[in-house]
Amino acid sequence: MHRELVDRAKQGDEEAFDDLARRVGDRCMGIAHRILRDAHLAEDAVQAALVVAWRELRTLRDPDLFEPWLHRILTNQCYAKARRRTRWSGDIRLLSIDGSAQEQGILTVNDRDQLERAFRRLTLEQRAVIVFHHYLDLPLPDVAARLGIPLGTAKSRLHHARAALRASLEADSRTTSNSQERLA
Amino acid sequence: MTARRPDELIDAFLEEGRDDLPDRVFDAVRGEIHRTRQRVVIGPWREPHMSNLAKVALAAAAVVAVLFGASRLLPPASGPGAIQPSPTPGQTATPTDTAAPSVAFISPGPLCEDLSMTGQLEPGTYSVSNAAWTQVPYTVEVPAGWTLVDGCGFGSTNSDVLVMTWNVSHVYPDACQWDDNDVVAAGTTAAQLTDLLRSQTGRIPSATTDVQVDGFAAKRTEFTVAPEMDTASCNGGPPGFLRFWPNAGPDFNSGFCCSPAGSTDDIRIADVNGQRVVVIIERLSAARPEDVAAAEAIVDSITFDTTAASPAPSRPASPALDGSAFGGTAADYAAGSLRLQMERILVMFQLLRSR
Repeated sequence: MHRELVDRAKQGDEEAFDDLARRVGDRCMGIAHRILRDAHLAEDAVQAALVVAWRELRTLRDPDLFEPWLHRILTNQCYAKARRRTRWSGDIRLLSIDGSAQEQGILTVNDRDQLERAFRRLTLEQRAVIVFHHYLDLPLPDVAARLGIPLGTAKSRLHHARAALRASLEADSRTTSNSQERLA
Repeated sequence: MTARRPDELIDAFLEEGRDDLPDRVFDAVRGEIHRTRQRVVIGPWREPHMSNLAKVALAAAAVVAVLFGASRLLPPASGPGAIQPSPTPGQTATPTDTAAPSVAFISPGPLCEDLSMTGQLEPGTYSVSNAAWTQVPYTVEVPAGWTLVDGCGFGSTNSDVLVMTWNVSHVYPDACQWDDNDVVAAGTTAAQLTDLLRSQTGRIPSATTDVQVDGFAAKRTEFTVAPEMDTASCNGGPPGFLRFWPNAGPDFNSGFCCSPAGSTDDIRIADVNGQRVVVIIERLSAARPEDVAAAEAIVDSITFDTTAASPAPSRPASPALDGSAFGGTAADYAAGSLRLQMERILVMFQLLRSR
């Protein structure tokens, strides 16, 4: 898909790499933001990943594998960024005041809150697997290949991540149900 | 109540989020790559008729040649901050694993002037003089395998252990319900700051002991975040985070924060000829004992330069906060390192040709 641009970039063509980066940057941001849950850190991670990709591009032997290769670099950058906790990088997310708008989608505000909390308790490695599987819709063997981990490890991480997220939703349902019972 | 499948909810949750990379990041990348040389790939696969034995022999010869070049043919870099070849020559001389790109190597010299700087630290002596991080300049010995984190922190391989110093002027009385309008002046002595941190809500302090850092009297206390603590319910969110103190100034827009549940900050506060230096070893619950021991050794190696005063604080804006991120220094270091590595490779080929 990006073979020509990758080939040109491998020859040191900065314009080609810029074009390439703009084609894949948004998707990278999507991945990084979902793993890190912090827009600033995600931008940092994508930027660092793209610079590493440029520096290492000539080591990529198959240009058709550019995006999976970049995603692996990006994931490693996400791990590195997330493990830096020495500075404040609060990511304030504004929720709409209009409650009805929040309830229009499949997620309620409570769902979102519970999932957010549960997601942040996952390890970075579990987050990466669930993001690649659910957000990018990649089958598990592809997830494992992209992250450079054995398939069994990918399965295990996905299983634990899903279990944790489901548990958070079920706990919320129980709480809601109990509250309704008390009100009844 | 309508039954909803958890997987659908998880999918919907993951659909939400940013999907647009701002132009400023593309612009920054463009500027960065202009200053960054691409890795030169030279490998045996360029010899189509080579036998496997010859490939192995060439790879072995390459490693030997590069080791030889590193130790004999290239003069050692001189002066602090000089860019040095990587201590792991196999990374450049052998075909590269595309999934495991190399990292920038940072040579011994001054640190903490550029927060965007990151990379693998070569073992050696580093100096810190920025008053945002220490009121007394010091040097420190860093072993192999440690990385530079956020320009001024020393991180173990997996960053489960961090070593850093800090200049603390104010603290939050409550690390969880922190508020920039509610900060307490931290005094000037080790005892004053220790007392304030001990009384700070949000962590569990150990007993404070009298220790020494480079021969100067210090107070040592371990502060642990309770494993069961829900830091997401703290201020700064959703989700929130613990925040212990802001920057010393001129603004309070950053600071030390975000220790996760179960982590421990081992804090030594030293009085060095009337100046206070805060030395922190932060370790996560999963930290390896050997990394903690290495961190202790790093702290033990601190040597204060009591003849010089730190210059005025000049902490640059955090790249995570201003979004521009990733300045050129690390890449410049990498580019310089690559230049030297290329020289090694040329030497290697000259040696091979001469055989």
